[in-house]
Amino acid sequence: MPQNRTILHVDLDAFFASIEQRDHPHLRGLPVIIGGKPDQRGVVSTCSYEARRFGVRSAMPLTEAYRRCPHGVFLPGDMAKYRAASRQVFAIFHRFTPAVEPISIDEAFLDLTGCTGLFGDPETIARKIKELIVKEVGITASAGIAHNKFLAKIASDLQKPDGLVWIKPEQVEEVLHPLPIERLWGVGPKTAAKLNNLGIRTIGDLARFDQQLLARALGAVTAQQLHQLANGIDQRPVLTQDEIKSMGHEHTFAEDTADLDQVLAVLLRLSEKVGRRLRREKLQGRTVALKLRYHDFTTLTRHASLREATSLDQDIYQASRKLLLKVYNGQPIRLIGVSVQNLSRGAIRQLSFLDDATHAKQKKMAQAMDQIKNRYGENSITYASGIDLISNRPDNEP
Amino acid sequence: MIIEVQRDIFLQMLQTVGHAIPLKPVMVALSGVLLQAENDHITLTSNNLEMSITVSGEAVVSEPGEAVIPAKILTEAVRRSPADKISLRHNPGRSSITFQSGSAQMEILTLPLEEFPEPPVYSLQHSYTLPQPLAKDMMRQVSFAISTEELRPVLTGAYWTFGEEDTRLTALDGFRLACRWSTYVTTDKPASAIVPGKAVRDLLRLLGDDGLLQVGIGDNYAAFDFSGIRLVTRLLEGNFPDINQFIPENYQTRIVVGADELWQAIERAALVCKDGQNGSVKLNINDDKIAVSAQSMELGRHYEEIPIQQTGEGLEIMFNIRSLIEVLRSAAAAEVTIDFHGSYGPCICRPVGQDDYFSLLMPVRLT
Repeated sequence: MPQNRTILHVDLDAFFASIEQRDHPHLRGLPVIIGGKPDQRGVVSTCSYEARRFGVRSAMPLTEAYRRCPHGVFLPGDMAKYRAASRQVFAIFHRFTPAVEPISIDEAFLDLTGCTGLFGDPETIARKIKELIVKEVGITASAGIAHNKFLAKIASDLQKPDGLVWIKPEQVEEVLHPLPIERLWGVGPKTAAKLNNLGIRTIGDLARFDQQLLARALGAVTAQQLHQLANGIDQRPVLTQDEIKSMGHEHTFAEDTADLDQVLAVLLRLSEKVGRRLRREKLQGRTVALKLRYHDFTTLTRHASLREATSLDQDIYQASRKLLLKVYNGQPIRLIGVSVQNLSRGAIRQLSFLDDATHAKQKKMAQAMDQIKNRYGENSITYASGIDLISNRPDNEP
Repeated sequence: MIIEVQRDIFLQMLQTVGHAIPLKPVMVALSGVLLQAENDHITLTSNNLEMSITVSGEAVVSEPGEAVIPAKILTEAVRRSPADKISLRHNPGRSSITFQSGSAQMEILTLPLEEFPEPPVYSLQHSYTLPQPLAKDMMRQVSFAISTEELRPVLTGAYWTFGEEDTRLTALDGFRLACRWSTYVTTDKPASAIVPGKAVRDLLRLLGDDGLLQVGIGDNYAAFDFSGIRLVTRLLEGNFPDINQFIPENYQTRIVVGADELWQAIERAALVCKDGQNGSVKLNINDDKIAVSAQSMELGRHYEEIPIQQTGEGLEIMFNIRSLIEVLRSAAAAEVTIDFHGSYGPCICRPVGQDDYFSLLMPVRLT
């Protein structure tokens, strides 16, 4: 890996809300909240900057959002439309470099190392990309430039919306150190509490902290990772689509649950989403991984190898269900995730002389469901047990 | 109960019954072995509810009796015992046995006798006898094709028939099929049974290289008697598919090839597959030679040619490496005839010079 990389992080501003404001001019300047009707159980998936002024945030329950912003415009959202816009944006990225790593529908890393000779310095490229997004898609984006992914992401967040920030190596300390430690990758509420106990509140505090003492509190591996990040060091490469190692979805329950039926329904819904994405990318995987987080944050992952690579919802669901039933200890579950790994294109299929009707039917069903979703949106069809789970909020992609 | 027994005999007996001790017992009693002593011999019995194994051996019995002893501890204690002789004394009052070997003494707590599973109740309507090595060969040649998927339970066993013309053992899992027959046993009282794969695999390990095997078949159970061992297994219920429907009549391509030669070429091809033997190999048959090739983006490519005798059309076909090796190995012959039925149809492999076996393998295809 080259020592001096140039990484660009692009994050679309209030993506879903911006698209609605683009298509419905009367919504411009109004607090727009995407996620559903305020009386529905569910959470905010995106809200416009106007809504953020009233304290509305992503992932906030809709009822709470309504309490804070009763005059807001609540919309269910239209994933098919957002996905189309997202594709336009990613096509723009690809005009500049093939090294695009999508993080989600509205966010990506671009490795610009080696592109600068072609298109000008990184700042020029970032400005061009932002202009093209405004011109061709009609929304704004925030961009961050740095010599690694972590800093690029921090940078894009510094001047939202419509921002452009370049963190140069000599500025790392000045920009990074005053930020709260929660901004570090991998620091959630639990780690943050531990760090606070050590008197660490900012990234700077952590960077200066004795690594051995840190290792005692967090374990050597985590300690080293966080210490490096705090010093602005991040070696992770930009992974393009072709190098995607796994594809997965996770779901955090609104309330921890020990209701196995509910968990299984979510598992099927997640399997459906993973299968859909695999098929869209023409990928198949041979390993299914289940991630389970209990109410006390104990987290475990289990893997199962399939006899053949698959992209079928039912194969993914059956394998992950088996794993779940094997490990589940009856405690309330906070989060469940399923992913498919060991991915390949053009998989090899073992032919059978027995009637393979089940598999053929499942394949046909997947094709039919995909066609319906392509035409009428992601929530137009699902399995019966997942019908209550349909929401416009995309489950978090880890 | 007070007995004295030779360590080696006792250890072998324990290892024999160990095949029916479950790794993760659903009830504690199943993890025990029943030891019964009378006259001048002892009998060990294990029973996992699907299968039970009984074995008898010589011992000095000073006081007859019976007890259920945790199999794992007893086996390990015998394996590690310092002297050639082992004496056991049952202490019913303390629910234990005293284990003595040389100066080593252990007291092992016993399991409740009344909780040990009752022996299966069965009546055997038919009985056949064949040499142990023949039975072993038959099982070795078909066991690889026994399915491990619970989707179709009958396929998780091997189908054993005793008929007027021969006895046959068949297994299939949807992409492989193997069938071995012998005219050693013929009968005017035909019978058949689907023997669970686990029993077949255990018998493969337990059968010896000489002596006879007696096979008893009842409605729900089969009993196998050999070398002082009795293995009784529950049979799988259901209808085993008629295999004739899977075997096409006329071949499009027939080759005769050295089994070892082809096998070794495939082993070499596996070296460049990312998944090793789980990968696939391409065979290209043309002009009296077979080209074996494999490749992966990560590791590289392999190519070699082997001379063959060919009849019929040329052909390109791909197989899973492990399955193809199993088919070649199971033929147990220097040369094999392989009939192909197109690139996506089955191939059928027979040993040259022995009309008692064939196996069928389906190819793989790129999707």
